[in-house]
Amino acid sequence: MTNFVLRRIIGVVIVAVLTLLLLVATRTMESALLSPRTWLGWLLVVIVLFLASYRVRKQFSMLPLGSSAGWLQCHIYVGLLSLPVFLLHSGAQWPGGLIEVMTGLLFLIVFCTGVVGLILTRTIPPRLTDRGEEVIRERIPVFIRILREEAEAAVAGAKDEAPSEVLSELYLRRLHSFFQRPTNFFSHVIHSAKPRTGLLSALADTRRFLNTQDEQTMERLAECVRRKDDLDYQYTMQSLLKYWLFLHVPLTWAMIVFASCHVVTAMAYTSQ
Amino acid sequence: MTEPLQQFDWKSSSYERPGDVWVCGKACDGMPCRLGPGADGECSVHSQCQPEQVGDRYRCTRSVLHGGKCADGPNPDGTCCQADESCQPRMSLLKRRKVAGAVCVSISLAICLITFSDSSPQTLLSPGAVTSAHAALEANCAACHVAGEAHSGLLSNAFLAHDSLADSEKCLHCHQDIGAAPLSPHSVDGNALTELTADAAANSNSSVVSRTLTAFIHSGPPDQTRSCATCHQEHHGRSFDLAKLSDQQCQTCHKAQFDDFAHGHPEFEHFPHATRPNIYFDHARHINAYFAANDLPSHIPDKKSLSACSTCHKPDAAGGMMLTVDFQHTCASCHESQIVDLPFPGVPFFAVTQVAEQPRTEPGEIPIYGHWPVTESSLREMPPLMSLLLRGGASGTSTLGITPELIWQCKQLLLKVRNVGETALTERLPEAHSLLHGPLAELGPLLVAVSTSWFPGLRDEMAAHMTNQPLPKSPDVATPEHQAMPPVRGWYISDADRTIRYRPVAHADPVLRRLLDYLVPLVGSETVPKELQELFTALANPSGSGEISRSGPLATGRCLSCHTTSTDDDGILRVNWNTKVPRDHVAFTSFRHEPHMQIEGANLCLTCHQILNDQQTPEFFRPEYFTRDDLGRWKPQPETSCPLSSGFDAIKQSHCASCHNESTASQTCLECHNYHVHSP
Repeated sequence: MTNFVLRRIIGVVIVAVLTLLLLVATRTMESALLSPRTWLGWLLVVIVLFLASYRVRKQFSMLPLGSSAGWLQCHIYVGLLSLPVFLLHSGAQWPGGLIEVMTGLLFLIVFCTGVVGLILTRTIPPRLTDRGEEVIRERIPVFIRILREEAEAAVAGAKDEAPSEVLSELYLRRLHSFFQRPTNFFSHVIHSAKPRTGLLSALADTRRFLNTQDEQTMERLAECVRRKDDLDYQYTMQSLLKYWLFLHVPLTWAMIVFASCHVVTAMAYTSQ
Repeated sequence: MTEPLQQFDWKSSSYERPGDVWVCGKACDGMPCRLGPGADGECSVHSQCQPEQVGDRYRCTRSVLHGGKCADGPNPDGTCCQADESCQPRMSLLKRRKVAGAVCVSISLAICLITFSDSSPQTLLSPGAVTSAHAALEANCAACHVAGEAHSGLLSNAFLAHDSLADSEKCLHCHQDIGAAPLSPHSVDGNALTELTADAAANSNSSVVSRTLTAFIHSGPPDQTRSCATCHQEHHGRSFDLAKLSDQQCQTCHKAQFDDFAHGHPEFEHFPHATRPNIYFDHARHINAYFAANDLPSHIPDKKSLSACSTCHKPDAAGGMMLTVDFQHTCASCHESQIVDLPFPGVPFFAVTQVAEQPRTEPGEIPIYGHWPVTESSLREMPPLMSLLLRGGASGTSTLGITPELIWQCKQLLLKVRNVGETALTERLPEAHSLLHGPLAELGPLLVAVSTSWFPGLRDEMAAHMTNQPLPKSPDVATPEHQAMPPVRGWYISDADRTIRYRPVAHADPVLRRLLDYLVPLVGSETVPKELQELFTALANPSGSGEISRSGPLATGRCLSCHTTSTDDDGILRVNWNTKVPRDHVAFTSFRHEPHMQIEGANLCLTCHQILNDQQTPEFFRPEYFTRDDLGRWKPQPETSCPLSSGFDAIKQSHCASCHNESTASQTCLECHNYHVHSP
């Protein structure tokens, strides 16, 4: 058993045990005619603030606040714990007021995006190493340009040779837009090879019209298509690793705003 | 093998800064400049220079960093020959995420501000629908919450000046029927609850661990006030049960803890006989002795079977209590004649009694007390009320016979009654005004009648006595032969023993009832004249005879043989004239008979109400709710020392647990107990 698996098991067990303890504490407090929801609400506030402070930790990396990896682990497992705390706090009942609806809705969205992010960050990196060349996302447009230039050079042919009309037409019709920018985002999200296969098939279909030299040009084009498609895959996957945060982080701040109003409202209106 | 696209050598691999706010506008085309945009979002590329004029020529000033001097140099007009290659930098992903965050926060704040504005409907703040009973108040937060009155003080209400009991006060505006101390546990006054808690703790059989844990969790004092929302939590939907309370929640405060009703619930103590029933009725004796010959049908109206408890008991309209059918349909067939009791002479209120010290007189000589028409049957003791009237309310010593002084007082009273009517009585005994003008209102006319018939020369005799003249000889009054008491009901004059008596008319006799209502509250008081005590004896002594201080079969009317007495809420002793009446208050324990009577196969009433046998009954059936003290005065017995069980064994908890157990899932605390104990 690897350290990673062991760590994950320990983390999940701790979350499960804490959930169980919270459940028992809640039931006990309910029996004691105390107000467990109030205490769970404050616990949830602390949890949310702790989770949000991970961003602060990354912002002020120069401060001795512990390793980012350690913070991430705490962020993950405390985040998982927040769901049972939320359910116990709300009584697994959907609220009715606007403030409460927004708070609950945003919490669930933030939690779900966090889970999605966790899944993405755990599944995408191995795939990135399995397919194509590992590149830095910010450099992908440069590499696309290089491949585009290489493909265009191949289609244009040597100085003293006329370019193949078949390949030129195919390039203009199918490959020109393909080499302009990262493409087929959603096909890569679902790991579909259809666009890639389609382009390579179109190139292969031209073989019967090509002479030996043009066939070599076609092979170079096919290689450029493969590499471009791999770059697109890298771009898509790395973008996913960044885009989920566009939901997770901004909605966290919105949730904190609504949660603050909820706290004030609940404390002012509580009759217990 | 194809050449890798990405190079990591220091020359061909620039340092990527994803944390920068801006990125080159040409990066998406794959041609980012190495400098990148500045921190302010301005493009750093300056492909054009500002040529410097030197004399009449222009000189290129482009730096080496931007490509060095151009070979062609500036244009003739002094402008740079290079094309403008600057770009429009774009925001980085990080910056876009921050902008998205700012937008989300702004929208959220706007929504919150709109929600908290006074013009917005208050339902926007509602955390959930209220129960249908409160649905009409849903749009008006201020109806239940102090915080709902104004949003301006929301923060202050939340953290500084929050008072949860203030909201409870709003609940009580509508819910006014839950007792005088509605915010105290069980609506019971704090001091009383503290005493009850101390008693419960002393008798608790809970384990030390259990009690310690309870005390740890629930540290508040037992008399601490609780807000309504402690138990009744709203905003959980239209059909939410606001009154739901779990057994565990009950046991949080209760010192005697147990698993469930079938296991560990305290045994009932004399339930339901902890309080005295209104009617003393010996079920065991009636069923086992009087009705043993199964001749009940001959006595009971409708000829119902002996085993039918419903002959005498019917459930009330709510099906909760078993009420007793009225007297005429139950007891009258056997007991009405005993109430009227024609062989019994009735209670004397006035009597020409024997003279205590008979002075020696010569034959034909008029005694010093004048004409006093005693007979051989005349009583030797004055009736209590007569004694009080003659002494003007002062209590006298008990002597056998009447003294001459009191005879003159009596004659004076009779003469005044004859002259002015019954006001003469109230003048002598003003404290008994309600008595003399109430149940004894007919006594005045009767006194007038006897003053004429028994004292024909009274006016002349009194005039001579007052002026110290020789007493005139009064006309003879015929002395009747020995005769039986007339068999009349109510007031009557007995010439045989020269008395005015009262005999009950029927059940619920109004005179006796009002007399007892007057006398019973006075019993036990140190200031009550002994004469009233004696009158009480005549009317109430369960072992009395109707004659003062003489033991006999039963008292007049035998009212208190069946009707018990209880102390009312004001601490005044009252006679329980009515049988059990439907409760007008919510007690801690409630029981509905009607559903239990539908159980098939059960021996219905006798399943729970088990009749005691003769060996067990005496302790319960002696109606000792009045006892005499050392001075011979009557004292009421407290109910707790004389509960009376009507011949039934106390109901055992195991009876109930045979049905109310885990299998039927009907053993929660609220099955039998009410939380709010209160009177209307």
